[in-house]
Amino acid sequence: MVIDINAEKDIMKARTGGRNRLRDMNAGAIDQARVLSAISELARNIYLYAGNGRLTLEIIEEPAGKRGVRLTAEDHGPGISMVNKALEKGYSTSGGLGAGLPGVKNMMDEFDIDSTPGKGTKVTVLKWIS
Amino acid sequence: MKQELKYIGEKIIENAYQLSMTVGGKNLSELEREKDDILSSAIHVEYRKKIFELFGISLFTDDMENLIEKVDEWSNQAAEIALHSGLSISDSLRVISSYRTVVWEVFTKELAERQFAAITILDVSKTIDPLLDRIGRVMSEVYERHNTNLMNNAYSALEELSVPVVPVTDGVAIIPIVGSIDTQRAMLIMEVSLNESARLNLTDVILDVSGVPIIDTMVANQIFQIISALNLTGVKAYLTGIRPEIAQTIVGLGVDFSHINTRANMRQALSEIGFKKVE
Repeated sequence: MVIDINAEKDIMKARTGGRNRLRDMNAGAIDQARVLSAISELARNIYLYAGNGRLTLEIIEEPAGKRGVRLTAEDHGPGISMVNKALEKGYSTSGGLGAGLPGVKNMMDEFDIDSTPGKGTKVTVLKWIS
Repeated sequence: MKQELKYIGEKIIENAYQLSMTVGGKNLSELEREKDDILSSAIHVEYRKKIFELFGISLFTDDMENLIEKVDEWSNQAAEIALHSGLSISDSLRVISSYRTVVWEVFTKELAERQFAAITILDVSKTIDPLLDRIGRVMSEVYERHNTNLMNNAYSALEELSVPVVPVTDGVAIIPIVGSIDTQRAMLIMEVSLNESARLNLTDVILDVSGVPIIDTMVANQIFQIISALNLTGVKAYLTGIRPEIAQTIVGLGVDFSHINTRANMRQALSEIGFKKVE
């Protein structure tokens, strides 16, 4: 699933799309809520800081029967000059709670961020679904 | 050839009323009977007559600009009339396309005897077709504007519904929130809850979020702000209806709700305020 994020309503669209995928996977309520808030946070970051970008949701299936969801949030916005700061709880440049990125990192099983000031940001996360 | 065009133009003007009637009685096969009656009504026929007159004039006028202006004016009003009569946009456009052929109906004799040069017929089309396209475009715009208006109205009606403040007794009200919260809605909740608290003299407000699908950091932040604002005005605010999976996510996000008066459910909050069933 690929959702272009250009407006606030696209965040809701991403969430609705994500919810349907997770339901199809028969993911539990807690896993669903976690992935959905991650979608919400990542999509909101795109909308808030870059204006537009794109969020991709992929379903991963390993031969052993392990299943997971990979989210990729990519934008060509201003980038983050201090990535470590952005991952610190309570740090925000937008007057928010500063809990978004650290929260996502905390809730997901794998987290990767790649940001170049002036070029854009790419966040990839993975959550195994039990 | 110019003369021929003028002849055709004048004949169209002369028979404009009859052509207009033809459209009504044409029983456009796809249109329902009832809509066909609308097209045959006097006001429609009378109004349609004008456009055939304009078509006629277009074939020999020197002032095309002025004519196009009149066509635009006609299309705008035609769309209003069509909207008023309950015709859909596809019905209207279908009727408009029918004009293309209707125009030739007063020339059955000439056409049968092949009196017109092919080039003349082509010239007529070259003049009238762009006008028809123009009418379609202008009418679509009117319909689009109309629909946007309708949608905006529906949206504001929905907005009003989206923050129901339900007074349960003197000084106590419940605000059940159902559906996603975005920035605009959060602002509305803030505004309405503060206004209603003042108007209804509320001392206790229960904000129930059991119908909110997800609470991310933005929504949490908005809830904090709403509750702080309520507290500032002397209203004690309770937050209820946080589902187990949402609670886990909030903890996962590391958002601190400890300064918020949360209760597991509405019943707990109500009984704390002093509600109980009298046997």
